Amino acid sequence: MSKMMNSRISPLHKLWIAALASVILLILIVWIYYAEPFINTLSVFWSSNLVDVLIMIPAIGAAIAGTLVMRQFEKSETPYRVWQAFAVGLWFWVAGEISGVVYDAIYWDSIYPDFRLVDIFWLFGYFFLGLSLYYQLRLVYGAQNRKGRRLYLGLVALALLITAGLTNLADNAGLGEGSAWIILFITVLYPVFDLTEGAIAIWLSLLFRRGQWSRPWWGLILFALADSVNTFYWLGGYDFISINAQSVLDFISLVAYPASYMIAGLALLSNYFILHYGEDSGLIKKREINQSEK
Amino acid sequence: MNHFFSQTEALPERDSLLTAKSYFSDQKSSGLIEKPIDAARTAILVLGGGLPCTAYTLENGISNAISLTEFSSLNNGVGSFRAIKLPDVAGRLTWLALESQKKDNLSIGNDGDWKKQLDQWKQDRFCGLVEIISTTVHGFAFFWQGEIQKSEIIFSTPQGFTSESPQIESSADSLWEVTTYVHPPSTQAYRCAMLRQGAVDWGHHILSRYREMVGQKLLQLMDRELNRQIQPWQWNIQLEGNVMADSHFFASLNDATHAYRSLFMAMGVQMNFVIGNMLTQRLLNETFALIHPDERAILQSERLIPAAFSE
Repeated sequence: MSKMMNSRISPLHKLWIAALASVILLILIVWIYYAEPFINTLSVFWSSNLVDVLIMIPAIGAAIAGTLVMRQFEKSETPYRVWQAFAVGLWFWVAGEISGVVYDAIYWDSIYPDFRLVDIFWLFGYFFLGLSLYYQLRLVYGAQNRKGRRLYLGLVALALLITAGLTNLADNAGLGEGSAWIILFITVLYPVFDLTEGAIAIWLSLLFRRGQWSRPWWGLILFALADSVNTFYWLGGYDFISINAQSVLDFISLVAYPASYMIAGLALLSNYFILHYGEDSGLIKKREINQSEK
Repeated sequence: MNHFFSQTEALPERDSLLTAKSYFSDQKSSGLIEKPIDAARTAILVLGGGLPCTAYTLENGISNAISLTEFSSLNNGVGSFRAIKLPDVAGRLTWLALESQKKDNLSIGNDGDWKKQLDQWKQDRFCGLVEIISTTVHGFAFFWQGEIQKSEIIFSTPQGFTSESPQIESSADSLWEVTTYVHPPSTQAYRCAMLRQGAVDWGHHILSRYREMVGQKLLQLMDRELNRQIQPWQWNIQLEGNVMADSHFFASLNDATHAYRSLFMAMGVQMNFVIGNMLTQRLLNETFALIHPDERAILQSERLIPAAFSE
């Protein structure tokens, strides 16, 4: 309370400012992507990677907000594990974003290696976000209930099987020519993870409905949407659709990707304010017991 | 003759029954008024939260309900009466005792015997009221499934009321006269006690599960919000952590139902906001299934059911 007294801006206003900043940043990303305003003023490398650098802002913001949420819980509390895994997953993705740009800088004039450090960061990110989803599901279905655990393990096994099957299909179709099977497997693993985690996130969101607690998962749903466009492109789907449809998909992918970090970050920030400031956050509706309840 | 809580000092003598009743009404406090009718009979009026609840005549330890008008009319020709202020828990347990029938009488001489008796009740999963009388102590304790309910225990001692069970050896007298009661299920006092038991137990399960899902901070937030909403109603109900402590004396089943309904609705609103309506519904259903069937039955009879508390 005293901390809030020292600040002139209420948590609710801070949240609105963050939301406004996110919208402005999103517009800026779209503008830079399509208008390429710095093509003559920046080097080719920077003008090509400016969007990726800008995407790091919401990515880092979401990871910080996730860490703040995690720190609101005692280590002995069950939700701690959920938000710890979520925050760690987001930090790995931040590392993935940064190392992606670093790799671009290093291999700007040469061929990328087959397996990069960035893949490790992305896969660890998926692993921890998946773990977070698993902990949340287990919490929802009850720790004693084996149904949730079986479902999760079943989904993981299914995802790996589908990935192996798709890898063989891709290999036979000549995709990823010259790459080792395991490299192709990892490449296929991304969209499979996206779809699996997106599906679980949708499942959780349906369980939580409009509940404040589920909103960080909405970010993962958007992330899966953005990546599904890339997967569609990778599978050669663009050959079967019109140029206009391709443009629409490109736009969706461009907006949904940074928006996924923004949505997750804003939802986490909102949850952090509620946890930290309680009723003083201004984010909780007040109601009174009235006679009509009699 | 003082039948209840003889250790408790009576309120200063008042001119009439009316002024005594006004005192309770003004203070909104619980209490009882005892009036001797003749050498063998006493009339007793129980007040809950300042309002007259029910009146009885008591003869040879057997109580019979009488109307409030009859109680007032019994004033004729009687010079004195005794009015005592009671904590809500004492008031509601006295009411329950007066609405019940005595079952067993036991004499307990030491703490060892008392412990044995407690173990026996635990083994029998005894449910009911126990009255304990000695020269220095008069108290009640409500047992549920063989366990003393911590919020349903009260002793009047020379030092005042306490919810701690006194040691037999430490008191000046060494013999406890213990009476157990059976409760006709249709009586208001018993239904109120059962409803309270059910609401408190369900509330505890809800709060525990909610804490498990969202953590201590959001639970505390809900506790604070509910305590704030309770305040204007002056219900003696307090939420702390995963415990819903109800020390209020609701003089009617309707009043108790209204309070619990409001509380569960407020819980539902808070939980809907955080975990959404579907999980709230799930949580309420899960926890409702955990409580004792008798508790569930009384809550259901008053339409205090999971479906009523989630959007």
